[in-house]
Order: sequence, then structure tokens, then C-alpha cells
Amino acid sequence: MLFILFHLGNDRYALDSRQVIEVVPMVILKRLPHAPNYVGGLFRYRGVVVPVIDLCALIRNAPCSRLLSSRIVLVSYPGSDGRKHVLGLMAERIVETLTACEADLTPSGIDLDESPYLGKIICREQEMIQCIRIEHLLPDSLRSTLFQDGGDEKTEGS
Amino acid sequence: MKDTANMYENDPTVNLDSPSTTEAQETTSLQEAGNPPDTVEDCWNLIGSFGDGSCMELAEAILCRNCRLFSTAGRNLLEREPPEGYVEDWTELLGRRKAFQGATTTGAIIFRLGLEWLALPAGVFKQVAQIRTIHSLPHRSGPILKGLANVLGALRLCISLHDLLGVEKATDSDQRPERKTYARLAVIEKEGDCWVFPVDEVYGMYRLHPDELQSVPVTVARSAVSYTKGLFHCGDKIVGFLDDTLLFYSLKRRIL
Repeated sequence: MLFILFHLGNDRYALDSRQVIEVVPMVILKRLPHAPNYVGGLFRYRGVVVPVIDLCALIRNAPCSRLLSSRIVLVSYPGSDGRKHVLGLMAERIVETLTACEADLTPSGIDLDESPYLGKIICREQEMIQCIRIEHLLPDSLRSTLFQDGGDEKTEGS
Repeated sequence: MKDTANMYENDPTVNLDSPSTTEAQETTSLQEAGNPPDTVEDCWNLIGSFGDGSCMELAEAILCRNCRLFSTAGRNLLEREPPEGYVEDWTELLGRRKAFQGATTTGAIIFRLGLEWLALPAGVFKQVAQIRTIHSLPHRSGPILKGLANVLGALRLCISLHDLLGVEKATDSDQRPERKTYARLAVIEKEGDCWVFPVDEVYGMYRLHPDELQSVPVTVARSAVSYTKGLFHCGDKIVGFLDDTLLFYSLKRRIL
């Protein structure tokens, strides 16, 4: 299994590459007023409006640093309507990948309600890299709001 | 790979005065703290394989590019603010719809027989091999079937596409002086039938859009015409796109 790694501060996290569509550089995001602070905004991707979640803000309560290595990973996210939508995940230092097999993944043993997206752990060289479960990233309320108009060809105005 | 620089870091008994270890240590500890230095110590140019080769890490890594310090330094090049206009350019680029070309084009392999440039769909090509001896079959000497050739360990029937299509073989005077060309053995296969034929040159692959195919002029009276589905331009060449279904059918009928 191939994982895309990213940093949040000094901790490393992993994303399953099977759900990844593309990794794109940082772009200008259109802010969504009244949305939670971890919603970075919206941007146009190949004619489709895509929402972007700031993973640094979501997990560490600090916005992502705007360096060249901070990029947006576009993933295929299952919407509440059962359809697949494109969701952008913004994180820091997305520059590495990791290959691990199913046996390398060990359950963390802790399942917090506040962070249902934290999945199994990969141990590498005395470091623990936690996988992110994309499908549990957004609360249901946000999920239906963000993807109401997402996937449409017209530009969203707000 | 053992990280020897880290191993020495916490050991008080090890002499840390040697410049190579200290240098390497400094860079590692700074980078691992997630705080890249403004100027990177390019140990690879000073003591590494691009320098005088005195670095201890080379014993295990052999070349600097296998060393973790080198790759970490490379990745740290991205730990800086994006240049002017970078973010704006990318926002604009990603917003555009992709000019989707893939699904409607077919790949064609272009090759030369004599002076004629011809093409077949890439899907029928199994292999393009080095030219080799074709062993003639006793009592089966026709103009088209040339014999057997050993390709990838299997004996394949070898034909002469020159003769089937009525293309004249190139003479030495026709060879282009500016480019060295190599004759190859093309192996084509479709629905279990496999045929091998020598070609004078393989140009390569070309993605063909159906609109590009022009009809063959009816005034040209050669047997190659009936096999040609259409003509298209590739660079300065006019290439005849052959009908693979018809080709396989007539080969099967005439030889098998």
C-alpha cells in the first residue's frame, strides 16, 4: 500500500494513495464566511469548485504555513448522497511517500470521538505515523453543506 | 540505513571535534527540528562524492545521493516562501479544464518499408526485436512466407510485408545519409495469430486522431492501396495507415 506522508508540526501522518486523485500546489482559496476555521476555502479545479480543508487547523488548531512544500491533496470523498466528490486537504511538507503492507498497520488502541479520522499507526524507525481516515474527516453537517453545490460547473458565489 | 550522525549525538565519550561529523550533525539536527537553516551546508560538495570523498557516510552510501542528508537537504529546498506570482499562476492553471485528448486518439506505430512509411495500430504490435536470421522452410518457398524466426524463444512465422504489399525494397543509394537507421523485426499479433516481418526502420509511436486520416487517392494503382485505411501526416512524412483486420485475414488465408 502506498501512502502519501505529510507533517503537522513535527508529527507525521499518512494518507492512503488509493483515494488520492492529484497533489497540487497551494492555490488562492476563496474563503467561506461562517464556516469552521478548518475549512480553508474553495478553489476551481478543472472547472469544478472544490472545498479545501486545512488539516493543520483541524488537527492542531493552527493554520498551514504557506511554504512551497505545503500542498493540497485532492481526494475522492464519499458524500452523504453516496456520490464521490473531490475534496482538497491542505497540509504541510507533503514531499514523501511510504510503502507499507497491511501487516505494518497497528491499531492505535484509542478511538476519540473528537478525532474519528485518526486511523491505524505505522511504526518506522522509532517514529509513529498515523493514518488519516478520509471518510471520517468531516462531521455530517459540514459534509452535506459543502457538497450541496460542489461538482456543479457554475462558480459558487457567497 | 543506520543514521551514524544521530548515534554519536548523545554519546559523550565520542570525540566530536572532527569537522565532517560536526558539520553533518548540525545539518541533521537542524533539519530534524523542522527548522531549516537559511544556508544549507553542502557537505556533498565539500567532503562528499562531489568533493574530496572524505565523508564517513560514503562508506555505506557509496554516493552522496543515497545518503539521507542529501535527500533531506533536497526536500528542504521546498521549505521556503513561494516566488512572486507562483500561487496566482497555479490557481489560474488548475482552474482550466484539461484539454482531454486521450480517449479519442489511437496509438499507431510508424515504420518504413523501402521508401514507404506505413503504420499499424499499436495494439497489434507485440514486440519490435533485433533483426535476426530467418530460417527458410523446405518446400515452402513462396514470395510472402519467408520462414521461421526465433523470437523470445518461440518459433514464429516470418513473412515479407514488402512482397505482400508490393513495396520495393530500399537500395543502398536510397538510404538517408543524415541518420543511421536500423532494420528491425516487427512482431504483430491479433486473436492468436502471430506474424513476424522485417522492417527497414521503426520511427516510433504516434497518437492518431480519427480526423487526421485522409482518404487514399484512387489514381494510385498498387496493391498496398487496398490495405491502406487512410493517410496521415507525421512531421514531414506521409504515412499510410494499414488495415490490420484485412492484413491478418489475408495472411491467414494465403499462408495458413
